[in-house]
Amino acid sequence: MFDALGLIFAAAGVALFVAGTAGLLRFPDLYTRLHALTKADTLGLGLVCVGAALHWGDPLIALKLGLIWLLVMASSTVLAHLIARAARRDGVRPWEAE
Amino acid sequence: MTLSLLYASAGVLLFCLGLFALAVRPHLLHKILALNVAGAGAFLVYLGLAYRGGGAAADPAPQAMVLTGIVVAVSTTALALALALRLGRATGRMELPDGSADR
Amino acid sequence: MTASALDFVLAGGLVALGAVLLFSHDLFRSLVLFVVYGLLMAVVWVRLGAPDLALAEAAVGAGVTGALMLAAWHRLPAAGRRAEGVVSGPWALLSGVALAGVAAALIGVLAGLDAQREGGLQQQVLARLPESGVESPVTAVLLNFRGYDTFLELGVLLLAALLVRLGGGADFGLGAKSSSVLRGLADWLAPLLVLTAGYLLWRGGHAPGGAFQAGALLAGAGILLALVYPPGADGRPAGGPRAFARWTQGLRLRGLLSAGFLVFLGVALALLVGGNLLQYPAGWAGALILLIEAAAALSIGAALLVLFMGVAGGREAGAP
Repeated sequence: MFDALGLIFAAAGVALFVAGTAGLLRFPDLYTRLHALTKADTLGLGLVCVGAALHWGDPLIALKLGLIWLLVMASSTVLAHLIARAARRDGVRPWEAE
Repeated sequence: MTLSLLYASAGVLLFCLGLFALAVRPHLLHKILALNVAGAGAFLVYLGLAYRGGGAAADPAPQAMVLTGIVVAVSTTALALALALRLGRATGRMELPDGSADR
Repeated sequence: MTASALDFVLAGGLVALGAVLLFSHDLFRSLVLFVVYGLLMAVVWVRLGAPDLALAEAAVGAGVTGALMLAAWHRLPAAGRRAEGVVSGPWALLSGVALAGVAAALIGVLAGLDAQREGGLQQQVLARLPESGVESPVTAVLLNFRGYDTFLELGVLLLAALLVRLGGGADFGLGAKSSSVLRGLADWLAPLLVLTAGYLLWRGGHAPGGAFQAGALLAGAGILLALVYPPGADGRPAGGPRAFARWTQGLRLRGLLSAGFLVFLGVALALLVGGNLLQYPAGWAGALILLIEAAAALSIGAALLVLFMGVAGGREAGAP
């Protein structure tokens, strides 16, 4: 039961990662690519962590997975901010539809 | 093909690729990258052969050796980078003097 | 055990990534791909049943080495950032053909070795594990059975840190345009990293983890703080944790750098009186190993920080 639920969560997370990767490859400029990437990092990893926690069924492991999720979320958020800020200062213009 | 052989073969390929890049890429940062890639290839050969099947931990002796190797690799990389930067500052070029003759 | 599709993707991906990063015409791309290469390598170590290596590779192989490479990139003279060049000609072709032959021959030898492989050293290590003072076989090999390897490795690390300091001078000044958001992250991430380093150090006795991984985390905390709190006019970081400003310069930094090597040397000399090199007396092994590991973790952290600073510091040198 928990295993099946865990699998569903992990699969949803992987789907988000795939979508984020597709965005990274296909979006037109740095800012939209960052947008695609951070969605996969935060929600995708969160879903994978929930899936893994359900799979192991151990509160201690779930705690560690939660900590990993929080740390990755914090660092990926700050990194996205830093990259976007550096790009804006370097004069990278946002993409505009023709 | 066994899992050990697959990863060990990948390690051999990376080692030879690294050596080749060391020879043909003139930029010093490329040479340092090449040494790192070749070193990681050697680690992969070692650990590939240390694999002990389905979920079991690998042979601890090679693991310890490679762990030592990773730290030594980062030390030599840092020293090489510092020296390369000094050379670049002194000559204005990030290439060894001999590299220019072949180009 | 035969390889699965996942293994072919991992091994093939690793080789392809290595080839692309070594022969790309864009140097910055090569450096970024090198970090990816390190992370993929960490996944391979997990696959091969070596979580200790995965931790060390992700933190040191990808993390610290990647930071070193990017720091070096920032200090390259503008002309040095282009790297289109590839040496061509008969010698390059010849060495390529020769190396391909060497690769084929080595793989052939490996196939032979793989077919007639025996137990390796695992049985011997596991048989003597109860005497080693720790429960983790990797830590037992590192700090007990082959302690002299680790001892000399700390020597190498110390030597490299000293040479880098001699060469460029580790002035802890990056002059990075610091961001308040990054500072906010560093303020709570650095203490957490130190805490996690302590946890990994303690855990190393019975599970994957140990001095190297702990030291890498300490270095990560140090590098983060050094990036966020560049020094003021007096050479000390303006703001930031006082302990960081105090322990990253002068005598205290030198003490941290050499602590691992000196403690290990002291233990080795003390034991030499009683007989053999680094043969711990019965019952004392666990305590001595923890003592050495704690000192080694501090030294590894300090040395990696000094190495990073030596490569990254001194912005004025030809930076744009």
